[in-house]
Amino acid sequence: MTAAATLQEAAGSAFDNLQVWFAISNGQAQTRLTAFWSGIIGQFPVANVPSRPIQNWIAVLAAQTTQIPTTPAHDLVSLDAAAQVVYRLCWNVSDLRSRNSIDAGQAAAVLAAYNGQLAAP
Amino acid sequence: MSYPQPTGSGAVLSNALIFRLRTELSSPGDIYESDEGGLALAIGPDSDIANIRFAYFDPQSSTLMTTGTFSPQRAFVGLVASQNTADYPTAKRPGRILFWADDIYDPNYVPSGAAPGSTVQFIPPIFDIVQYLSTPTALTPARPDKKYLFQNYTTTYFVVPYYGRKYAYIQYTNRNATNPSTYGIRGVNFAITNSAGPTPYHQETTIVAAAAVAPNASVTTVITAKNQGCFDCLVFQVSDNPGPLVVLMSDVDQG
Repeated sequence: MTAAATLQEAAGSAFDNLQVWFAISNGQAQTRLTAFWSGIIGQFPVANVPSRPIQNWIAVLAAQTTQIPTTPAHDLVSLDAAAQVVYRLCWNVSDLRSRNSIDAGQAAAVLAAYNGQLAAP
Repeated sequence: MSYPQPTGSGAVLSNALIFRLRTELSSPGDIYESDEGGLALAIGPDSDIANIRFAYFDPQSSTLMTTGTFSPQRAFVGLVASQNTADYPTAKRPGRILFWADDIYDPNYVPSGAAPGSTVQFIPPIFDIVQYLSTPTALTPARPDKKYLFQNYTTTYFVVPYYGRKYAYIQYTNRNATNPSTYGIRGVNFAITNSAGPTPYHQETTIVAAAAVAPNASVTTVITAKNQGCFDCLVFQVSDNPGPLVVLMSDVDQG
C-alpha cells in the first residue's frame, strides 16, 4: 500500500491499513497505534487551545489503544473502533488546518506519523 | 464547527439549566467537549446525526475513560461528571466529557456512475446535543419530523442526511412545461474508504432509478425501514428544470 498523500486520503485508508496490523498476532496493532499517537502528542500541547479537538482525539485513541488485545489477532471490534478514531482524527487535523487553526508543520507531522506507523507495508 | 466551541461552564454561569451544542458538522472528525457535569445527555431536536458517542472520566476504568452512545431511542440518564483537574492518564489530557458523531459522514463521496462534470452538493449534517444541568422532567425519545423543500437546482446530485430515520415521504414534480427532467433517488451507507480511489466502499441502493419525468408529471415515493432499508443519506439526482421536491422524514416508521 502506498503512503497517503493527504490527510483525507489517510483517513479514508485507515481501515484498510489497520487491518493489516491487526492481522499480525504479536501485538503490532497496539505497538503501531501507540507509536502513532505518541509521535504526534508533542505537537499539540494542552495550552494550545485551537488544537484542543486533536488533543481530545489523542486522548480517545490512547485509551483505546491500551485495550487492544495482543492475542488473538484480528480482533474485529478493536479494529473497527481504532479505524473509526483514526479516520476522524485525520479528518479533524485536515479540517483544522484548512481553517488555519493549526499550522502546516502540525498537520505534516500527523501525516508523517500516519505514513510511518500505520501505512501498511 | 465553530471552533472554539461554546462551553458548558458558560451555560452554568448564565444560569441555564441545559447546555445545548448545535452546529453543522464541519468534517467527519468533529469532536466537542463539555467542562461541566450533567444529569442526562440527549439528542437535540435538530440533530441529523442519530448516534452520538461520548467519553468521560471514570475512576473505575483501567484507562480512566469510559465511552457510551446516546440516540433518539436512548438518552443517557445519570450523572456524568467532567473532571477538569484530572487527566486521562495515558495521553495526559484533561478529563472533560467528549462528544462526537458515531455515524459516518464522507464529504468526499461521489455517486457511482456520475458523469464527468457532475456536481454534488451536501446538506451538512446538524450535530445537536443537550446536556441537562438539572434533573430532566422528561426526555422525549424521537426527533421531530424534518422537512426539506427544494425547487431549483444548480447541481446534478444533492445529498440529504437520513441517519436513523425510519420513514420518508418524497414528492417531485417537473414544472418545466415543455422538457422532461431527470430524477432519481438512491440510499447510501457510508464506509471508511478513500473516495478518491478507484473503488470506494460506500454502499448504494437504488430507490428510484434515474429516468425522465415528463413535463408537469409527478413522482411520489415512500421509503420505509422495512421495505427499502436504513441509510446514512438519500442522494437525489436532478436536472436543472424547475421542479419542487418535498422530502419529509421521520424517526417513526409509518409503514
